Amino acid sequence: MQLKDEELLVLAAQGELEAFGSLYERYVERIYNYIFYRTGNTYDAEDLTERVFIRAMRHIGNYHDRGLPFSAWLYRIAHNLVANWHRDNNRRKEIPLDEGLYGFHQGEHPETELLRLEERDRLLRAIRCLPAERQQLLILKFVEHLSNAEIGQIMGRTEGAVKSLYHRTLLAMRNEFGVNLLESQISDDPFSEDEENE
Amino acid sequence: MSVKISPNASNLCNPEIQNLEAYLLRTFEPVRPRQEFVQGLRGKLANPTVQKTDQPTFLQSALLVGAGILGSVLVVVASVKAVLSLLHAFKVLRQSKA
Repeated sequence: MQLKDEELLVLAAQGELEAFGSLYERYVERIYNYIFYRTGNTYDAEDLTERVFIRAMRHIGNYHDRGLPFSAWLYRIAHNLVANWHRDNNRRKEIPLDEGLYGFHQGEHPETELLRLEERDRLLRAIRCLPAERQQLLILKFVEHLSNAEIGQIMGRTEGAVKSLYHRTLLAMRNEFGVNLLESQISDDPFSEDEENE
Repeated sequence: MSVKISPNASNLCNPEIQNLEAYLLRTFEPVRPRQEFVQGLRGKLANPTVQKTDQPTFLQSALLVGAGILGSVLVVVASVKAVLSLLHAFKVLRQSKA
C-alpha cells in the first residue's frame, strides 16, 4: 500500500531515509522541470535539484504541517535557490541544442526535434525577460498543470491573486512578445500537419 | 516591462491571447532528468554520511588537535635539546682553550 505524503513526512522527520526516498521519487521530476525552465540548462538544473533535496532532507525535522502540500515547501526551496543562482551568476545561458535531446521525443525526426528545440529556446528567452514570480506562475501552470489554487499555495497568494497575475502576465506577453511568438507558431503549423501525416 | 492593462474577461477572450495560451501549452513540454542523475541522487540521499564528509566529525577534530599539540611539543623539545647541545659544545671549546 502506498503511503500518503503526510505519513511519509512523519516517518522522514523521524529519520527514516526510505520514507524521504519515496518522497524524493514522487517529486524529483517536477522539481527538476521547474528548475530546468528557470535556469535553461541541464547542468544547473541537476545541481540545483540536488541542492533542493539535500536541503529538504536536512531540514525535514523542522517541517511544520501548515495545511500546505509538501510540494509547496519543495517549490519554495527551489524558488529561493534559483533566485540565489540568478543573483550569483547574473547570466542568461543559451541552451545548447544537444542538451534537450535526451529527455523527450528521441524517436522523432531530427528536423522536427530541431524545430521543437528552437521553439522552446525562443520561448525560454521570452519567459526569462519576465519577473521571477511570473516565470514561476507560467511554469507551474503549463509544465506542472497545477490549478490556480495549488499555485497560490506554492506562491503564498490567494487563488484570485494568482488568476489576476496570470491574466496580466498573458496580456504583457502578448504585447511584448506576442508578434514573434505567434509568427513562429504560424510558421510551424504546416510542419505540425506533416507530423500528423507521418 | 511597462505594460499596464487592467485584466478583464473580454481581453482574455481575445483570439491572440487564446493563441498565446495554446502556444504556451504546446511549447512548455515536461523534460525528463537523466536516469543516471536521478538514481545517483537517490543513492546520495539514502546514504547521507557521504554528504557529511565535508565536515569533520568530533573524533576527527579531536585527533587533529591532539596531533597538532603533540607535534608542537616535539618541536619545542627538539629546539631546547639543540640549544643545550650548542651551549655544551661552546663550554667544552672554552675549557679546552683555557
